[in-house]
Amino acid sequence: MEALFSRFDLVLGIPEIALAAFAVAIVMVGVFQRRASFGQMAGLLAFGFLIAGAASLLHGFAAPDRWTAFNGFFAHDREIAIVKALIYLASAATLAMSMRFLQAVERAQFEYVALIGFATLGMSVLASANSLLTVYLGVELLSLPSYVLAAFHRDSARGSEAGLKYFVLGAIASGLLLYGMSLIYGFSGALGFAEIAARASSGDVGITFGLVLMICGLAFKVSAAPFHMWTPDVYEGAPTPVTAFFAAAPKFAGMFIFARLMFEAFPSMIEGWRPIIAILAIASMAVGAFGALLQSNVKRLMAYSSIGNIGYGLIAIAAGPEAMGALIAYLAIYVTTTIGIFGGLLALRHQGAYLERIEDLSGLIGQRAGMAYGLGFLLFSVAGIPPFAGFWGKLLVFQAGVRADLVWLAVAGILLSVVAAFYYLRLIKVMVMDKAQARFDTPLGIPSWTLAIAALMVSVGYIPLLAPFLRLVGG
Amino acid sequence: MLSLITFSPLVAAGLILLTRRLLQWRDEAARDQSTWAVGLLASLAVFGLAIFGLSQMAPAAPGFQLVEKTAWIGGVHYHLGVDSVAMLLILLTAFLTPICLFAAQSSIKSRVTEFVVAFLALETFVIGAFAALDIVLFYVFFEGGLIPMFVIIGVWGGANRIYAAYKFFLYTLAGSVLMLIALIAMVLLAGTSDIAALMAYDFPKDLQIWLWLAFFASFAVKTPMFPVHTWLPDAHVEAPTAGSVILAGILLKLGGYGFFRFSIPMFPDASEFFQPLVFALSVIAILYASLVAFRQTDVKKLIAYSSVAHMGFVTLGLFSGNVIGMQAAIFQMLSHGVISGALFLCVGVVYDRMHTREIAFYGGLATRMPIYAVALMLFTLGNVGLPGTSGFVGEILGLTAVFPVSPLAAAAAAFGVILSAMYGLHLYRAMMLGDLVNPKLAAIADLDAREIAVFAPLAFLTLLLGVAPGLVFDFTQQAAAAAAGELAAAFAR
Repeated sequence: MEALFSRFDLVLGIPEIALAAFAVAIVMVGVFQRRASFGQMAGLLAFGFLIAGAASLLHGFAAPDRWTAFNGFFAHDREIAIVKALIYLASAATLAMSMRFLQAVERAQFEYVALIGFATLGMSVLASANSLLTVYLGVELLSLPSYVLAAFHRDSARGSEAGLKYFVLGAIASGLLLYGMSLIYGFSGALGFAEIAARASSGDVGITFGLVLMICGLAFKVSAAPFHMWTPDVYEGAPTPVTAFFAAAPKFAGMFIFARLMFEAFPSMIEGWRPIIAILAIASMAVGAFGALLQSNVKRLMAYSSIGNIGYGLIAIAAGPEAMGALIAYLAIYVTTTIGIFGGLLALRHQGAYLERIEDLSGLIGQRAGMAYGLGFLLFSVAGIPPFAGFWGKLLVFQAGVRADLVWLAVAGILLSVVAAFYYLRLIKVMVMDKAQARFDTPLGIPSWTLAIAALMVSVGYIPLLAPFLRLVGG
Repeated sequence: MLSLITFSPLVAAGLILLTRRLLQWRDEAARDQSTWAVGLLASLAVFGLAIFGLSQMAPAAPGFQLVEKTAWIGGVHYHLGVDSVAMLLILLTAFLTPICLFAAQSSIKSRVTEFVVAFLALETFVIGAFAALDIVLFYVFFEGGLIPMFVIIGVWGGANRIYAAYKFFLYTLAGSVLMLIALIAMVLLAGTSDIAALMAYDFPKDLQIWLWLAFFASFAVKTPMFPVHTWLPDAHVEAPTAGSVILAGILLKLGGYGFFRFSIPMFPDASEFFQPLVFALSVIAILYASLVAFRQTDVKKLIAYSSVAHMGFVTLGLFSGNVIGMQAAIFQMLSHGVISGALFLCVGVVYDRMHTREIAFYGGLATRMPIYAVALMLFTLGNVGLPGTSGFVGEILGLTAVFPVSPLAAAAAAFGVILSAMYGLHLYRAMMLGDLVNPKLAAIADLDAREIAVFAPLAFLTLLLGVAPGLVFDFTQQAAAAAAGELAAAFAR
């Protein structure tokens, strides 16, 4: 009888073990040492992220090829290591930005840090998942803390509504996902990606059915249209730092495992799932572009923006395994930009009140020119206007699409990006061309620094970094 | 060398933002002064560099010169280089930018830093677009220029500026994204994004048609050609004077340059196939825009429509398929850059004094503003195409080149020359001649020394190119012949 796992397996799992240990430790310290401040807790988790990230990267660069552990349930290679490190970085950045906001609404509790820790653990498991069960474990480990986080401002009616909505719809999506997985297991007799790939064929109705159900479940989790309905409400109702968290790292993890599942478990069925993903992509891009046009709330607008951007990412998935590098680069740029924009929303206040409406940004350039430049760069980037990094991300994705003969998809995406450009321009117009309505308070430190770093990255940082990055992730 | 020319303005913009921070202890006006000074000096330095770059070139040698190449993202290279045409357009950009900054100093009073920064960034993007030898790099610069222009129109423009800024941005963006798709397809097919290699690559004819249309969408909006010219009058009317000058003088040339650099040499068969379409649209633009210009009540709108008409001559010449037409088009681009820029500056002079652009408001200005009257006369006649000015050379050569290809188009375009005299002289009569009826104009002042300094170099160039067009023709002969040869070969097939 084989052992359940070997010591080598534990080495591969160090990042997840470390994260779990730190998250549990935070709960313990929080319960037994009530005097520990939010900042100390956040610092503790950041230390955990650091250890996990370092372990992941060390292993990834020392052994860049694919290694599996825990009887093939768990995989690691350089690509996964880099994605994990970026997920930790994104989580750490959104955690750091959230402190002052949570203090302002008197919700700076250690539970918040612990939940972020557990959710990030879930993403980490997702990134490494190599079997359907691990995928489900990761999805649930990410989702359950997310439901709580969405309702973290529990005295706010909108917050509770957001949490409930997210939970109910999320549970349905998890059900779809699980049902799909059980069908696939039933018809192929396998759970591991590689085994499924060996046994599944498109002729099998059960497999096809299971695949479609799984795609639906995953599409819900990454908020791709037409499974996006929860996104605007949850983004609007959740506290802004939580929205920032939702918009960044989980999107990265979700899209990455979406792509890996399709490429590694169902490579022979690409002609079957490609049209489905393509339709999801075009629907998401359209919903993202047209839905945002009439929004007046910045967080709702960002929700539609993230739906649209997921659509562009889906083009890369539809393009097939060669597009993995393009997808990772696209997601990295998108997450950088999103975190930067949310940094702006968490740094700027009018008499202590955080920004909610688009008009609240009026006349920013007259009072806080640096913030306006930074936000402007980020918005042009997310609109895909060169020379900013967002353009390169879109270019890589479209290139992958055209290479896979999905010219119509690339054309649709590019035309919809013009529509989307309109509402990003509207934000810029409000900041740069409208008269100020009220005085801005001094921007808060950590979020403004995050904004500055993100703006620097998208304007100059990615220009030299993108080429080596693409080489590392196999683009 | 070219990197230096391209990025100096951007570095200067960064420097301005920095000095602004460092000089916080000084008052607003003093800081504005230093901003203008740095911007002006930087743009003059760029002009000097551009002249130096021009002197380094051997115009008779084929291919691109002053080349710089470094590997960049994916297969894309940071690859700069120019032929004689691109170099002249860079020179035009470097020439007009300091003039604009100098002229704007008296009219832009708010947010001076941002204005100068936007202008310098725009200069970098435009020069970069002319100098790029990698098609993706070209796209980056071409598109990037939208950002500063959007800000210039939207912040310092007139009453309806937001609408105009959006229209400008979205029209141009919609045109260029189609080009992006074509560009991706070309790069994947040819396996390179190098412009010279793409020129040498033979694209299959049926694919050329699609690629040509996609590029046409972008450059036709930029040029602008009928029927996608409608953003231009709005953008011009709302833009501040300096913005209009750059828009008419330089940004429109990106369209013509795009045809010259991409559409014709890369898709010669499609260019041949679509020549009737281009001719038809050009002739319609010339006649229609001229007639519309005649009916305008707003001075800037009139000049904007006249720009549309004159760019029609450029597209006629470009697609004529012979060297003379190509030369004429290149010359017309340079000449129009100078003359239309000067005309917008002329409008700016009276607008700064009276704050209206209604033609009916003015009349009899010649009695109060004799120097201004001379300047406007010169540039109006240049615009009309009077022999001795640069406007004449481009138009007459363009017509001679088009006549053997399509006598009908040449005849219609020649009629457009008459129309341009009609609206040009109409404008001049209405504004400058007759009695000074409007009492508000009684105290209007003539050009001051700084305004004369602005117009002098423009007037000099208009006349110089008018009497010695050979300066340009000899310089661009090789490049024009190469491009025209591609199209002529397609005709011969």
